[in-house]
Amino acid sequence: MTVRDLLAELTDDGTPRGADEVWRAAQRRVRARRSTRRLAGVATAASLVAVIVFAVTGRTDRGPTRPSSRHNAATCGDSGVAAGSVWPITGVARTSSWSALPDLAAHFIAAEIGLSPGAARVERRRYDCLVHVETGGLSALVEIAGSPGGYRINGLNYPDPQPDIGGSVAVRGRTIDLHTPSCPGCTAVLKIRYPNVAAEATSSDGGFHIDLGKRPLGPGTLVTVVRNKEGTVVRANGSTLPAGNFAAG
Amino acid sequence: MTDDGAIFADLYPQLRRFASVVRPIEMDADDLVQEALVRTLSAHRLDALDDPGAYLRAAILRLASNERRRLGRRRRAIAHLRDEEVTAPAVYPHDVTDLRRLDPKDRAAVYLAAVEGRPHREIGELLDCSEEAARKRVSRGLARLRVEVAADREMT
Repeated sequence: MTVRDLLAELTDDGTPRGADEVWRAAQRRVRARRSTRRLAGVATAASLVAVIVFAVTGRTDRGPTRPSSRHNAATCGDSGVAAGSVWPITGVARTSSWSALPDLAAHFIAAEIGLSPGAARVERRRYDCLVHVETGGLSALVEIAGSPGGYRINGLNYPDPQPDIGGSVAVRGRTIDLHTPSCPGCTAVLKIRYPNVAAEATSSDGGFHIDLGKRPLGPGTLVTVVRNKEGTVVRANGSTLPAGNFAAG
Repeated sequence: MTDDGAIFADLYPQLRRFASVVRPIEMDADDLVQEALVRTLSAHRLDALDDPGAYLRAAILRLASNERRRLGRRRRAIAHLRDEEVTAPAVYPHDVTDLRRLDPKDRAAVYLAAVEGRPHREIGELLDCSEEAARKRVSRGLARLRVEVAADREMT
C-alpha cells in the first residue's frame, strides 16, 4: 500500500452532505452567532447602566437593605428579632445604615428623654453597638443592635457610666411592679409599651404598680426618666422586656 | 446562492477531502468543514479573502488540532477516573485507524505533498511554519507510514 492508497482510504469518508447543505447550515449558525452577540451586547450595556446608576445613587430598587449576618458581624450584630425595641424605629429613625447610628441615638434621647445631644461616637461590639452621646457634660449610652430591616434600640443608660443604683421590675400577668431609686423632690416617669397595650405613670418615690388592663402579648419595653424639681433629667434607663411573666432586680 | 456560496461550492470537494484527512477519528469531515466555514464567515466574506481555499484549509487544520487536543484531554481524564493506563498511539501505524491518530499537521503535510502535490513552501504557509519545517513534517509523516522510501521516490 502506498501513501496515496492510505490517504485515498482516508478521503473515502462516507457520503458527503454536499456544498449546499453545509453552506446553508453554516449560514444559519452565522446568523445565530450574530444574534447572540447582539443580545450579549445589549445585556452588557444594560448591566453597565445599572452599575453606573448604583454607583451614582448608592441604592437599588430593592428597598431597604436587610442587614446580612456578615454585614452585621462587621457592624452591630443581628439577633433576627425586630420586636422589642426600646424605641420603635420608624420614620426618620428607621435606618439600615450603620453610619447613621449616631444620629439615630441622638434623635432618640432628644425626643424620648428630652436631653440635648452633642457629639456621639460608636463603639462596636460582637452583637451590638454602643453609641456614646455627649449631653452637656454627661454622656448617655444607647445600645443599638441590627435587626431585620434596620436597627433597634436595646437599652439606655444616662448618665454613663452609671453606678449600680439597684431597682427591680416584675411582670405578672397584666400587672407590673417597678421600683427605681429616686431622690428628694424628684419625679420618675415610667413608660411601658407592649404590642397590644401601653401605659405611662408618674411617681414621686420611684415605686410603680400598674394594672395594664389586659395581659401583654409579645415582648415589650420600658423607659424610666427621673427628673429633679427643676425638671432636669438626672437619670434615665431603658430596657426591653421579654414576653410573658418576668422579674429582675 | 451568493458569490460566497459559489466560491464555497467550488472549494467544497477539496476542503472535504482535506478535512477527511486531518479530522480526528471522532469528528465528521463535513462538521469540520462547516465549523471552519462558520468561523470564517463570522469574521470575513469569502470574496474579500485573497485565497479563501487556503484560509479555510488553515481553519480546518486549526480546528482539527484543537479538537484532537480536547479529545485527548478527555480520554486521559476518563482513563484517570477509571484508574487505567493511558495508551499512547502506535509509533508505526499500520492501518488507516492508526494513521488517524497522527498529529493532524503531519497528516495534512503528507496529504498536501503526496496527493495534492503542493510545494513545501506552500505547505509551510498553511501549517504556519518554515519551508524546512514543512519538509520535515512531510518526511516524518512518511516515515510513520513505513513507506518513506517508496513515497520519497514518488514525490521526488
